[in-house]
Amino acid sequence: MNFKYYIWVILLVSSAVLLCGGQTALAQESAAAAAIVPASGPLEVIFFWVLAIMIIGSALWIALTGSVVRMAVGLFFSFGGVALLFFLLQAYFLGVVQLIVYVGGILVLVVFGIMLTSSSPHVRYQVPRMELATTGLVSLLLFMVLGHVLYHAPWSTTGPQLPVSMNELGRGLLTDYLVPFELAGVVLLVVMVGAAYLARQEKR
Amino acid sequence: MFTAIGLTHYLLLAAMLFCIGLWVMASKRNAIGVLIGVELILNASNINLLAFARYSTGGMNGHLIALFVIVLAAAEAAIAIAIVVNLYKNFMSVDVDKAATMKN
Amino acid sequence: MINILGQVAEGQIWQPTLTELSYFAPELVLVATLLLLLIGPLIAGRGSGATLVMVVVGMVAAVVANLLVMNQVVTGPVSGLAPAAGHMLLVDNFSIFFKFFLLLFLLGVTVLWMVGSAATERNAPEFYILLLGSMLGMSLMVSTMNLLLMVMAIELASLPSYALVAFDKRNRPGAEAAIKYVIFGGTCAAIMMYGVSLLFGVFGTLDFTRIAPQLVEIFENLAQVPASKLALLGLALLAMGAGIAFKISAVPFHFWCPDVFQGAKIEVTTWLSVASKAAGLCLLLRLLQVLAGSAHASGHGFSAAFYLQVVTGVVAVVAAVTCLLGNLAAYRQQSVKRLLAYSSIAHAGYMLMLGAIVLTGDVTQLVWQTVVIYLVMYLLMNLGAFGATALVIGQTGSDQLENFTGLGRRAPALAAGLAICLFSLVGIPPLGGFIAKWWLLWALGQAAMQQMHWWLWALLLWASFNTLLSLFYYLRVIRQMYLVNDDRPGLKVPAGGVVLINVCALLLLLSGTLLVNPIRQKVGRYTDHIFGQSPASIVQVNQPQNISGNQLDGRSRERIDTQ
Repeated sequence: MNFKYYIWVILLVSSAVLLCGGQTALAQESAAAAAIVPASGPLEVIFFWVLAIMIIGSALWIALTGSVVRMAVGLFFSFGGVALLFFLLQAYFLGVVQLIVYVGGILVLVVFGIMLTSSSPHVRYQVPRMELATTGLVSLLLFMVLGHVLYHAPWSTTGPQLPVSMNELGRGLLTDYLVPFELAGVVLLVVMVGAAYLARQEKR
Repeated sequence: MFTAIGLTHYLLLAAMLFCIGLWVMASKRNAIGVLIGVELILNASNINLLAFARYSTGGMNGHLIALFVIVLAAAEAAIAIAIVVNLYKNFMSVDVDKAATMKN
Repeated sequence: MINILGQVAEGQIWQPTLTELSYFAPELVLVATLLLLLIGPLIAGRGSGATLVMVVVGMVAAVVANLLVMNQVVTGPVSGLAPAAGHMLLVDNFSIFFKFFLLLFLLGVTVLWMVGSAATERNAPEFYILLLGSMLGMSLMVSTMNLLLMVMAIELASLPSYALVAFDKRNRPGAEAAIKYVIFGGTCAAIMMYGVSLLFGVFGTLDFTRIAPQLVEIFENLAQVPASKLALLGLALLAMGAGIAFKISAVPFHFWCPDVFQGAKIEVTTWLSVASKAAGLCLLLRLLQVLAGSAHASGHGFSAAFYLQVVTGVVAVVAAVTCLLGNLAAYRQQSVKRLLAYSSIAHAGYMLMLGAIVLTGDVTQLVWQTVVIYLVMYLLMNLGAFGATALVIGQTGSDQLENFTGLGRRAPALAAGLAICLFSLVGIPPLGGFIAKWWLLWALGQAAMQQMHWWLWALLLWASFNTLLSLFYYLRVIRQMYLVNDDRPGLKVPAGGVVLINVCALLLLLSGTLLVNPIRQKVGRYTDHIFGQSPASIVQVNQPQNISGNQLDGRSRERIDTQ
């Protein structure tokens, strides 16, 4: 069996399950209001839509293009858009971290990966049209159900909360989240050893 | 709907990113492409977390959890890229389908 | 409950006390060993011998630390180190048992490694850093009730495992297995994280002990809950389940298992076959246990909550299908590693059946007894079977079934040990595997009698039927060893490996005969307090008293007070 089909099967099964869930949701309620907080200024609205188009557009580009280099460029815009979105959500520290780690770290890693593994930068991995269309259709179906459920779910919205200061975050890291904080150090250490070992040239 | 932005907008944006991530993972042959799909999904969950922190419950906790998700994403990307490079050294290709020597 | 926000003088910061820290001594020792393995080679060199010394020192220290902690914790779990976010790290008898389990298994794998590849291994420190890292992750998977820490622990267990599978860098199947493992694992982890983020949105916390009562409440008042919220919860829980099912390799997330087991080095395969699956299972069982406890505490119990039965049903169906698929797919295999991989999938299915009955509430003690006994027996059986395979691979270079031909003549001691382990994997009477399976069937039967559910009887019959099915493919190996004969020369297997396998076989033999009663008593006593005083609800007894809560914001203060 082709390895690709594994993820496929999961996609199908999960969307079937979701479809059933979505149907019941549809039957019971149709008029649940979306949780919209009225107080959002015009600039916030404009920025949101611009960023949304940027993120989704570049993500779609990643899905459609066959060239790995273009995928990396799409990833740049997608990550960057998400970082700006974090600023919009008043998560300033997280926005900066997103820029540094994702755009400055992971993206560079991906580009290195591409350069180390292709004989020429223009190498293309074209997916057959048919396969692209069917997987896309299943994903669309999944999104319709997921979106439906998310749209109608009764979220408790307490209105915009105050932005979290870096001071609070730092205190949280060293009290409530001390264990994950320490654990993150161990994860990074072990991963560093593993990745360095795998990528290292063996001495003969 | 277009003039006021709320929690639902962010959640739907994240859901869309999640689905596109799944699409990328399902359709790409290239191991790095699949990895990019994973990163998109992790970004989607981060948008969720921060939107909840801003508009709903959670507050600081959402921020901190998102921070750890970013750490995990970085760690996973590092190890995945190393394994992809190792695959390339052995098969001279990063096509997941081509690396299929083991059979039932 | 107690308000744990003690008063701290202005300008002071909260620190865990020495007593609290001492509860986590085993983990700290493991991390220290990791660091020793990083720095030690600079002084002692990168040889296998020096590494082995460091690892053994670390392991002995961890065992001692675990013994000390075991003597301290008899009344209940402790959640030090994480004052307000409670249940980040738990220390109770179950997590202590699991740490012993992992350490014992690591010892076995180390012996295997010593016999098989220590002489030719040039990267021993890296190998053990990754192995210990994944071990730390697995032990944390079983010592937490917080979904964030759960995700992180699963990642800490998985990420080094990916690298371990590709450890033999020139081995093409290894590289291929690793890429499949990392893609599949990364996908499942990402989906799980998305589900967890949705759960966070619904409940505002990731502490499962606080999520579970709310879940039960939702389940009990279905009429008042909007359907979309139910759909959302189902979705989020399913997404979370994907990550856990990946670790257990339950259907439909089992695809990675045979390929990874075949492609990886045999020591790594052995390690993953027991440790990774056991950790995933124990994590799932612990979550279900908390859910069951909340249902029990709410007064309605299992039968009132229809949706709890749905959860149980899902687990039961997954367990049944996993069993059948593992047993059926094992038939066609020519590679013994692959055969054992499918056998381990089937065994994961058997153990998953316990997840189906843990929610019924009436048989909790029996379930946990079964968990402890089954895991220990499974460890011995798999260590023996994979160990024997490792020795054959070491001598003949391949794990194809034909290399086992006439093993009864070529290496009698090895073949005898392997045969006992295989018979035990089937569950033939006087062996440890039989005892484990007997306990499992007994627990299923008890649950069926008390709940009067037809599907529990069906599950019991299904488990017995699958045991029968599995008999034939294990017999294929045994037949190849004893009944098929050709003129292959005798094997010179290393004595250490044969001793390891025969120790496993002997223990299996003893635990099925002479030691049945002592085991029953010991396990019974142990599981009485496996979660502290009352297994139905997890309580915090040791509250850290001094936290700089006055600096925390109002929201988290409120959160803490509601504990």
